[in-house]
Amino acid sequence: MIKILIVEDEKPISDLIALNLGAQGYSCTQVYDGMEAANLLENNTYDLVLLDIMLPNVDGYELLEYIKPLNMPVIFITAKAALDDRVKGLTLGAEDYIVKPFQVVELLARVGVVLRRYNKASSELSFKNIKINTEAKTATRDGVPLDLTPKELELLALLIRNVNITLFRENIYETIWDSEYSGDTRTLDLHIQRLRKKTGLGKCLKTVYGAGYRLEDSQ
Amino acid sequence: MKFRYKVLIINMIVISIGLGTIGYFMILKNFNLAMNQQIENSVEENNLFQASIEYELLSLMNTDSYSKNVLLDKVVEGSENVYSNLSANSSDLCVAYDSNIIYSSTQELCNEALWSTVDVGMKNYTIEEKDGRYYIYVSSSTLLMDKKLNIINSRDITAVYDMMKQQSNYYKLLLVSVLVICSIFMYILSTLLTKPLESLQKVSESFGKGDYDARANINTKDEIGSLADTYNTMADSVVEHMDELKGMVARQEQFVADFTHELKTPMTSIIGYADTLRSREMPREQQIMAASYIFSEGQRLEAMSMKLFEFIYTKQHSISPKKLSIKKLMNTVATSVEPMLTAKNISLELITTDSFILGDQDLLKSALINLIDNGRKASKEGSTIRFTAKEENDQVTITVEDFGTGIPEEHLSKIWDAFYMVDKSRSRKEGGAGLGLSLAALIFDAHNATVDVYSKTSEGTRFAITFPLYAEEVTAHEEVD
Repeated sequence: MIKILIVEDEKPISDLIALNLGAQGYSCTQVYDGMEAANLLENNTYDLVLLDIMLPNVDGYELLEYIKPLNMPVIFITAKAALDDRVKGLTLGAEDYIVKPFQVVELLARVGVVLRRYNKASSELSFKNIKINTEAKTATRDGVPLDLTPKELELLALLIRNVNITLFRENIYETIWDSEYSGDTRTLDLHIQRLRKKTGLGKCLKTVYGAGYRLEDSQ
Repeated sequence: MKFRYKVLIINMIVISIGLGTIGYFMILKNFNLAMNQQIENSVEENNLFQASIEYELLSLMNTDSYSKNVLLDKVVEGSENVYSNLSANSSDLCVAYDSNIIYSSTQELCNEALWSTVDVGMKNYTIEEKDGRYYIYVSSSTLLMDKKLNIINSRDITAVYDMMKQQSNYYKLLLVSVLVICSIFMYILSTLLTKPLESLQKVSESFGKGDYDARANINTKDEIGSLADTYNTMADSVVEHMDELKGMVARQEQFVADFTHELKTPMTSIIGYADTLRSREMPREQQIMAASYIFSEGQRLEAMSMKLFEFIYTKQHSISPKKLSIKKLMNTVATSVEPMLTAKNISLELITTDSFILGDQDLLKSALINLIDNGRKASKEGSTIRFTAKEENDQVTITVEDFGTGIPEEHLSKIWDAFYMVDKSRSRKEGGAGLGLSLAALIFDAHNATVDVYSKTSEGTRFAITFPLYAEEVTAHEEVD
């Protein structure tokens, strides 16, 4: 299980991050001030630290200096959007810099990238007899390569990452096609149909009426 | 043209005119003296010639028989004698009788006008130039046998003119050398004198180019020194003014930065939870949590925008002060805060005075409510807040004192900053935006009130606001009228 430390003094935001990362199967620890974070880091190791900059007691930059020798990747999450602040954060050794307000998808994507860069999260996703290598952008069924278009591959990966969770149409569309959902779901429906055919997951890839799609492993 | 060159040229002109005039008159005077000497000498010589010739003639005339021709021969002979005897020097002698030259020791003869016009018994002289040489001619006139006998002597006085020329040449040389030396001195002097001006100019130039630390370092006690002082004072006040503006801009930038940060925090939560809710199905309790956060953060945003509006309004509008009763003001405030205090079971201890101040009732009310609200947030349930007033030395002090958590010392200096919160999470829970105190500070400042804060952690906080009393003599004056 991948352990992530969330250092953020705004409880609503901390909870928001924990809620979404938790749904992805990460184990999250939340702390609300810099001192507390330093104490935790002394005795525990984490695969990733999400760090706010404006923190009570010890600020994010100071904490980063403290974390660096521990060799844990750090992503700054901050309202400071000025270029200088970003550059400062990145030159100090942060892996990435997320500016508030952020989109949940963006947060998850950046967390995923950093984890893979540190080989914490494997670039391999698997569901039953299907395996996806997100790095190489290839998919296999029982070791036999599947002929999937890039969009189909992304869609499959998204569904596998959210096994047993209903994903709403609009959200899937916006995530995969990276554009505003305009009410036309036929593109998405078409891709789902082709996926079912190509992967043989017809039974597991459920249509949730009035909502979206869900990949179930109980079948 | 540089100032030093101007000084130099003016000085050169003045010195030339001065020395030139002096030299001219000196040389003229010398020349006149030498000339007079020469004239005197010539006249003396003429006297001598005349006396000698007359003597010769007298001895002849004492003999019995003499004719005109003999006499004239005698004159010529006598003249020759006299000339050879007396004129060892450069003088020449010439004798004319009845307007005819009868003897001349030289070919050079003077103008006939000289000896033809001179009266009998008188002497006359003239100065003439011949071939670059100057001669003085002196003529005497006597009667010999009813005819005029002129004895004319001449002298070469070129030396006097040469001397004058030499003097004037020498003087010119002297004048030029003095001028050169004086010019060098003047140049050095004027350079020294204008040096402070030049350095002042350099300083103002670099100031103009943006080196705002540049100051004139001139210690002379003259006009330039005082100009430098004035310049430095001006530069200081410019820099001061500029710093003030910079500070203002920095404060505004800080305000905007803080404001954006404060805005982004609830925005992140609202957008994030809404985004989560719409992207997938979640357990019921998670949905409720997300919705609650959206609600509470939305409320926080609304509270903040209200406060911000109030803040900007206060900042942009000048107060309209009226005579204001402290008692009335404090009573209205007490009535307003009562509901929120009773909700937390906090009692308000109210002591007022019968003082009057000059102020804006609505603004002061809002500021005082803010202070009491701060006290309420810091207080535990069942605690007390003291809201008192005291008149002292033409001043009235309103005090708001709570016995709550207090403010840690390191935060005390920052509590007036916009968006600053001592305890963020608690303040958020209570719906604070970090603007209350900066708003109050703005209002008190507009009333010329001074604010003192005393606070101790876990003992409480006391805000003391001191207003100047309403000037009573104005009212008294009105009553007399």
